[in-house]
Parts: sequence; structure tokens; C-alpha cells
Amino acid sequence: MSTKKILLVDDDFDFITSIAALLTSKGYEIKTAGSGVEGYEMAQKFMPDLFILDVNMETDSAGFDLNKSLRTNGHFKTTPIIMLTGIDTYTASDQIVEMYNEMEGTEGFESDKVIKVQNANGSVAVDYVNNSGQKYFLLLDSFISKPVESEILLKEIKKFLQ
Amino acid sequence: MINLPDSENFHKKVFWLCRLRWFAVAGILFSTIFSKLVLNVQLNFIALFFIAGLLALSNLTHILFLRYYLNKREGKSLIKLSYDINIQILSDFIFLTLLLHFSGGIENPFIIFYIFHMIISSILLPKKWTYILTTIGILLFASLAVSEFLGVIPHYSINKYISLLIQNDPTYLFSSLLIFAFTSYLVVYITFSLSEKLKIVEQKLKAANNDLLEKDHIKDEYVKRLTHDIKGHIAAIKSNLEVVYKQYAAPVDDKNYKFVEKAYFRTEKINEFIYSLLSLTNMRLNNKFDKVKFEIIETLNNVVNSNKLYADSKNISFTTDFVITNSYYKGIQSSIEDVINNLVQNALKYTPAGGKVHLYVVSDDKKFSFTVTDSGYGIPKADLAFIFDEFYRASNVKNSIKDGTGLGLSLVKAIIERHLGSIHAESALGKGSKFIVNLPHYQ
Repeated sequence: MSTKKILLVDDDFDFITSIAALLTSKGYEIKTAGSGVEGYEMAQKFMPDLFILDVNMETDSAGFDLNKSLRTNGHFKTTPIIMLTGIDTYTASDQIVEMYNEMEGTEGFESDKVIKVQNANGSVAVDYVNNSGQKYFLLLDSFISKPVESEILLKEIKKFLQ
Repeated sequence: MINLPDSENFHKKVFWLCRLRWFAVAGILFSTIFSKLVLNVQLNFIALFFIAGLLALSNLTHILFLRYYLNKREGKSLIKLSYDINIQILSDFIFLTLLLHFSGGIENPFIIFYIFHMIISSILLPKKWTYILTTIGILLFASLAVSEFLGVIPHYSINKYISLLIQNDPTYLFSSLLIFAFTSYLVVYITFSLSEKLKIVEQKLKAANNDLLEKDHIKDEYVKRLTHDIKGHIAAIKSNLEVVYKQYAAPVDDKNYKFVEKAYFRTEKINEFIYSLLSLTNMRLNNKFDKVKFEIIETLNNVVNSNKLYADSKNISFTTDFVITNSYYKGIQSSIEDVINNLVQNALKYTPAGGKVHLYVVSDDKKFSFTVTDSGYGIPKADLAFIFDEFYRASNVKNSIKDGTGLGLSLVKAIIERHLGSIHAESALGKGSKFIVNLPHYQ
């Protein structure tokens, strides 16, 4: 079995070096990038088997935006992506997101929150607003909150890379 | 105590006045019958009952009109409503004057009832109107007494002594009227000053309360920002320390290992603390519908699984009893899990080895409730009232068990309040504690 390649994208350099050390010790080939833009460039060269992305980098939604553009890129359409982030989310069902979107624009309603949609079948999605104010609904492979135990992260990676 | 309506809800005042009037109608009927049967006073019953009936009818008309008016206008124009209070008080004065006329006029002790309306109007109406109404009341009464005295209208005497006294000594009549007028103005003046003062106090209290709520909100936002910023650093510290502690990159020699281990566990504690603080402030700040229907048993299994090992390691018998007829609950699933977890963890933490912890859950059509009972150290009576306060830790365990954050139960309470439920704690020192949570099934 060839060495699996993982690309870590996070602007917290101290954080990713530790994750890189952990994953390297477990036999993965690791590259890191410090921003969404850098991550996208690096992806083309490195061709990873899995991505681990932070969300809040050069913009509040840089990680989600990168996730979205990777999905529209032919190479990475099905490459697993783990979102590993410290952002404040706010769990809801998809009906609630629908209600939210209907309430959009009504008085006293904040929409700057990222809503994490936890579906009954275990899949996760986020409803977020990007830097230019556009709203997106994005299906995710995996969402892990920081700080994370190494065992949990390793288990999640193994789930995708078996 | 009379339940006075507060100064904001004007339409409530009007209805309050109408409700009082039903008592007046009942009072007239009662006192008329009482005077007839017990006191044996000669009264014009037909006239009195007729007026009482008229008063009831006019009150009904008022209420119906008000309902119609409020439905139509949604209570927007307050000026019109205060006119209505004027009209009502005015018509009450006329009714009272008529009643008095048929029941002895100045001889009737019920003349003091004018004062009631003067008090009511000084509570409900602006100063100008109160004085105008008071003057009208005094004039009505005076013209009744004087016209009866002069024989312009008939006088239905109920007490021949007073009647004779007045006929023979007009000074008595006029001095009574003068004293009546003076008393009326004085009462209005005093009531008005008092109610003005109360209104000012009420406004001040309201402003102070709003101020406090706002400051509390700012505090919550501040705490949230702060903890959120700290969280990023903690995440980096923790994952770096973990690499060393679990020796992923290189082995750690024995001398250094114990230091790293301590640092790692302390980081875990800080992390727990920050998680609680963030959840607590979020629970307070967000007031939105983030509730989903979830399966109760799934949550319970998570709690049991994550606490079993710890219970075994402490040699505590951790038992459960689930009576679930309604297997779903609509709420914030992770938060509900936090609540049960927190209570079970606390029970395990504050119960010595060899003890017992029991989780009893009932979910039926009405409620989802759970009770955590332990055979632990218990909570001193003096502390019991404060255990849900932020950063409060019971005095008997504060020094022996150091790793509590003092936030767990505050979070538990905030979550339960978000779900409109209640929590109740019972405890006996040295015997154990019991936490009972009741969550209603709503929506």
C-alpha cells in the first residue's frame, strides 16, 4: 500500500505542526498550507488523498470556500475532506435551516452564525455566509471541533482512507 | 391588596374599572336588601333596583364597546381610551347621585363613595382631568343636597332626625358640603402626589432593570469573545503537548514525562472549563429555535457508555432504570446530553469508592424527566441554595476535590431553563444527593 497523502490547511502554524507531527508518526505523508488560497494551489501539486481544513483563515469562511472549490474541481470531487475547526457553530435540523432562510432579513435576526446541520442519517452540512455576503449550503464529509484528541482524529482519517 | 394595573397598559385600566363596577352593582343590591330586611329602613326599592339595573346595563355596554374598539384599533389610540375613563367616571357620579337621591340624599352615609371615584381618577387620569372630575362630583352632590333642601326636587328621607336637623339648621348642610368639598380636593391631591411618586419609582426601576439586562448581555458577549479567543490557543497548546505526551515525534525520558503529563492534564481541565463557559454563555445569548426531535435512548446510551469506565475504576455501582413510553424528545440534543452527563459525572465524582449512583429516567406523553441519586458526600444545607450559581462550589468538597470548574451546574440550569424545565436538588450530608430534572414536552 502506498503512503497516503494528507494536506493540512490552517492558519495556526503551531497547531498544524503538531498535527503534522502526529500524522507523520502514523505513516502519512503530510503537507501544510496556511491559507485557503495557498491550500488550493498546494492541492494541485500535491494531489492529496485527504484534506484537513480549518475554516476561519484569511476570511471567516475561507475553509468552507476552499471545500466548495475543491468539490467543483474534477480531481477532488470525491476526495474526503475533514473540517477541523474552532468556529462557533450551532446545531440544527434541516427544517430549522429552512425556517431560518425564511426569516432572513426580518428584524432582529442575525445571520452571521454558521448553522451546522446534523441530519438523522449522520451526515453533516453547514449553512454559512461567505465574505461577500452570499449564503451557501454545503454538505460535508466530516466536521470536528477543536481541540481534538489525537485518537479521534486518527479514527476519522482511517474511516476515509481504508 | 388591590391589584392596580401598571401605568403602561391603559386598556387594562379601563377593564379594571369595569370589573370594579360589577362589585358596585352587587353592593347596591346587597345594601338595599340589607337595609330593608335588617335595618328596616324605608327606601324607594323600585327606583334603586332600576338604577342598579341601569348601571349593570351601562357597564355591559362599556365592556362590549371597549372589546370592539380594541379589536378594531388594536389599542393604538390611548387618548380616546382616557376619554372613555372620563365618561365612565362621569356616568358613575351621575348614577351615584341618582342612587343617593332615592336613598336619603345627604342623610345617606354612602355619600363618601364619591371619594372612591376621585381616588380612582387620580390614579388613572392626568391631573387636569382629575380636578375637573372632582369638581363635577362635588357640584353634583352639592346641587342634589341644595335642591332637596330648597324643595326643587323631592327629598326621600331615611332618617327623620338628620332630616329635621338640616331643615332647621341650614348651616349644618352648608358646612357639611364645605367639608366634603375640602376633603375631596385634599384626597385627590394626596393620592395624586402618591401615584405620581410611584410612577416615577416604577419608571426608574424599569430603566434600572433594562440597564442591568443590557449589561448582562454585554458581559455575556464579552465572556464569549474572550473564551473563544482563548480556545484557539488552548487547542494549539493541547495538540502540541499531546505530541510530546504520547511521544508521537520522539520518546520522552522518564524524568520529563511526569511533567509533561501534568501539563497535559491541566490543559484538559482548562479545555473543559472553556467548553462549559462557552456553552453557558451561548445558552444565554442564543434564543433561537435550535431544537430537534431526537431519540432519548441514544442520548442515554451515550451517557452510560461514557461514564461506565469511570464508575468501574472507582468501584461505584452505577445502575440505571429507564421507563420510556415516549421515545422522542424535542430539544438541543447535545445540550441535553451535557445535562445528564454533568449530573452523572458529578454524582460519580462526589461519591466515595464503593458507593452507588443511580440514573432513573421517565419519558411519557407529558414529560421527560430524570433523577440522579448518589450515596456520596452530600451537600451542606447552607450551600444547597447556591449550587447553581456560577463558580460556586460546595464548602465540603471545595478543598478536597479540586478539579471542579464551578460551572457545571450553572450550565445544567441554563440548559434546563432554555427547555422550559425545572431542576431540583435534595441532599443529606454524608448520605448522598438527588437531582431531579423535569422537562416538558412542548410544541
